[in-house]
Amino acid sequence: MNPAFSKNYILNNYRKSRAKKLFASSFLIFFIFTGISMAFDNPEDLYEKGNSSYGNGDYKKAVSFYEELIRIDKVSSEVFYNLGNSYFKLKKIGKAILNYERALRLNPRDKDTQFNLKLAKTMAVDKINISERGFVLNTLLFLYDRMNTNELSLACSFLYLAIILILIFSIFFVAKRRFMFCTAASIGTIFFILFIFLFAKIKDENFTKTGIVIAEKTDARSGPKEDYLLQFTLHEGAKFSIIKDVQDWYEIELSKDLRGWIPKITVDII
Amino acid sequence: MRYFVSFLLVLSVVAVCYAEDMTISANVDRREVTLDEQTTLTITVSGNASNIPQPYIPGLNGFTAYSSGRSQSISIINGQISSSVTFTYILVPNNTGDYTLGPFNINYKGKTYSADPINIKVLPRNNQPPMPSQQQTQPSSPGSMDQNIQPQQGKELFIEAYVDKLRSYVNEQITLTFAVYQAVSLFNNPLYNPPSTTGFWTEDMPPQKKYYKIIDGTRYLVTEIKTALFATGPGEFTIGSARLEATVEDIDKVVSRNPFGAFDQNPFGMFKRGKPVALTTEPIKVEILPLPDQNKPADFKGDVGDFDISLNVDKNTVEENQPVSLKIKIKGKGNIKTISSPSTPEIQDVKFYESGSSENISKDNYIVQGEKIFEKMIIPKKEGNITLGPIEYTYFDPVLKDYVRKKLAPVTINVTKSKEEPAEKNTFAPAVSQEEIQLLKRDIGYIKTSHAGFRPKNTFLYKNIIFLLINILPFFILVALYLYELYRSRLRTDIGYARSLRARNAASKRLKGARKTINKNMVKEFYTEIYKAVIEYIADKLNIPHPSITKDSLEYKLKEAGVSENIIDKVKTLFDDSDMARFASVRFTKIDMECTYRQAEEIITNLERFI
Repeated sequence: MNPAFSKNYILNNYRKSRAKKLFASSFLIFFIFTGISMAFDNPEDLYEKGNSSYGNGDYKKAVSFYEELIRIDKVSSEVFYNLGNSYFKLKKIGKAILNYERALRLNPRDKDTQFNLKLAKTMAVDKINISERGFVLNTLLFLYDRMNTNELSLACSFLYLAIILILIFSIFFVAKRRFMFCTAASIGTIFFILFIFLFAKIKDENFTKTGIVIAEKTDARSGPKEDYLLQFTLHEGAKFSIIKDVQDWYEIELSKDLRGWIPKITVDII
Repeated sequence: MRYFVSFLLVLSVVAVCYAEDMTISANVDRREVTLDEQTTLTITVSGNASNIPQPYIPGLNGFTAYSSGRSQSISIINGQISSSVTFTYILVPNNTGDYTLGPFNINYKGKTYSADPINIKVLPRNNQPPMPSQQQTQPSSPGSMDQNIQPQQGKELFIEAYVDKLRSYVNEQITLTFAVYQAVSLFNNPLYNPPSTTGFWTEDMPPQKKYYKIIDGTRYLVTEIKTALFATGPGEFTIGSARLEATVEDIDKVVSRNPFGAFDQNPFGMFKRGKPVALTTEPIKVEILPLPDQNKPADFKGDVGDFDISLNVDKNTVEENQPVSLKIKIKGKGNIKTISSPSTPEIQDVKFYESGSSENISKDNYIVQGEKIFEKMIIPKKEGNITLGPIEYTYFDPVLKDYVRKKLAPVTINVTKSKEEPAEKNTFAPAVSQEEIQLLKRDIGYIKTSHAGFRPKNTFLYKNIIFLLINILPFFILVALYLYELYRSRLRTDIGYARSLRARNAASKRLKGARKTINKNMVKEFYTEIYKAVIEYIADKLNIPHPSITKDSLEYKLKEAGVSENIIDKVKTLFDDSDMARFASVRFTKIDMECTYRQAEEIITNLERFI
């Protein structure tokens, strides 16, 4: 072998290994720094960083920033929406749907979220038939669909206080009592409807747990163990409600006649 | 109404029972049978009685009889019940000759009805009976179960299990046959426990094969269940014993029972006689030979059998970045399910994607065969010609006892320059199952950069104590205000109530005034005040105008209000004292005044309890 060549070869090799080490250490430092910077960042900075990472096309990084925000319990519908978008770009449809749903809970009227969620759902493998509500029901539940829990609480509270105020006035202004009672009764009717909505909402969103499959696919069995009969397979993005919770398994319901047990790690709750 | 109808029914039944009329007839579907045929004997009992007894069947000489059921029909026409019961028996001749069946009798209410006897001629077999597929089972079983095929005379049910070969290669098909021989009908579906086949990959081979076979003059219905076994490794394996549990009809008891036994009381008794039988087969030892190492190709993946390979490309000319679908089909006999994809050579600037495989297995002639199709997507990244292949596939042929290599001719695909720009980044095609939506290039909306502020995740107003308090407090305020308004309106409208409420305060005011006069030694004024305090207090409490009060009326009113005598006396003394003091003030000292003051106080406190 040519000695010059071999020298070159060794040098080259040495350089390569140094470069490798440098690369590794810089990588480590980068991680430590991002870790530290994450720990000390305030929510606004994290949000900005997430947005700029997303803008640069680094969706994995964007996800880590948004997830950090959620971890430190500083959330908003925008964070969930952006996180959903990032997961969508990473082709994790299940997580994308999950986060869009979470965003909608906080801001049910957001058109962007509705649009993206609809799009994401068409990417899901499982086509689950959800009975469409008719026009009448849609009209009746107009407010229910467009208000979140807190807005409903506030509206209820506002109407309720108005009724109380009118009643207090009616004590002292005997002459106008009749008119005031009529007003209170009509406000009371609206209050009653909204109060039912509020109750339904709290029940729907906080007591009935709804989950999304985040694993690529998951097998629904007839019992909470691997050796039970495989009933059907769900794919990423499928939405279901949880009936029971036994150790590492959830019993889920897709429609009236479709039930099964799936492992907890394959799903996440909205 | 329903009761009435049933009552009528019962009445008519009773009426009909008195006018019983019974006929019995016996019939066979053919009067001449050969030894390997069978004939059906039908005994029909009809009459206008509702409970038709079992006919008596004499010993059917020269035949073996199977009961094949009982059918009943009842019709009610104009209140006349006519019912007929048909008993069906299958008769299998045992010997040639002429036989007479019957006469068949029926005993009903002391009367005997009988049907004419039937003559049947049994002929010898006209030629050698067809014995389907017997040649298939026997030569290939080298003495494995032969002794079982010659059963003892009179054994009406037995089973056997055998394999087509006792020596085979790894992953070569061994056919395990489980056969049930039955000469009697079974009461229920027999329970079949398949043998344990550890170390084998099994493949069921429906349908069950059924045929008749005559062994030593007994005609057996043979049911064969076949299973294909593929050994997963070399060595000696044991196929465990199979087990069959069934309930057999006890034919001896049916045919040769004593006449006029307890039968007539229980017409269905005959059909319930059965004895449970459990049968097992011997385990079978099988030797599995390893595949020879000699000539073993490097790319051999363990497929054994006889296969053919073909390749199919959906288009020969394609634009760059457009997919070409490649189908490799392996077809033949062998364990189709375990076939693995033949490797495709790497080509530069071409991306391969496995897009799954499909199997199509058939079990014709009880040999596992079929085809497996491997689909691959090829996406050429650059224009030019690409050559696929040659794709090679090797398998072991157990018949030739050697490895076989099949080669496919190379396929050339012409890649042209793409007309349109490469597909936009970050677009998605929808999932395959929902293609009808035609979402080809749609993307999600961009992220939000504006922000309305963060908060913890589960902040619900309805869980916030301050929020709840803000809502609850006004309610209490409302209640409090309402109660206050009620009180005020009562004060306004109810004078007595108002006076009674004011009485105590007024009295103590007057008493305080009186107290001041003690020190100034103003006896007259003191007693006037004391008197006024007490009298006004009482008047207010009882809601009477106080100028109109006299001592007598006062006493009466107090008594009416339920004040005790003791206190009334005290009040009276106090009034007497004060009257006296007003006229003879000199006699009263400071001490007297103190005493009176205390008395007045005491009176008011006591009265408070009553009025």
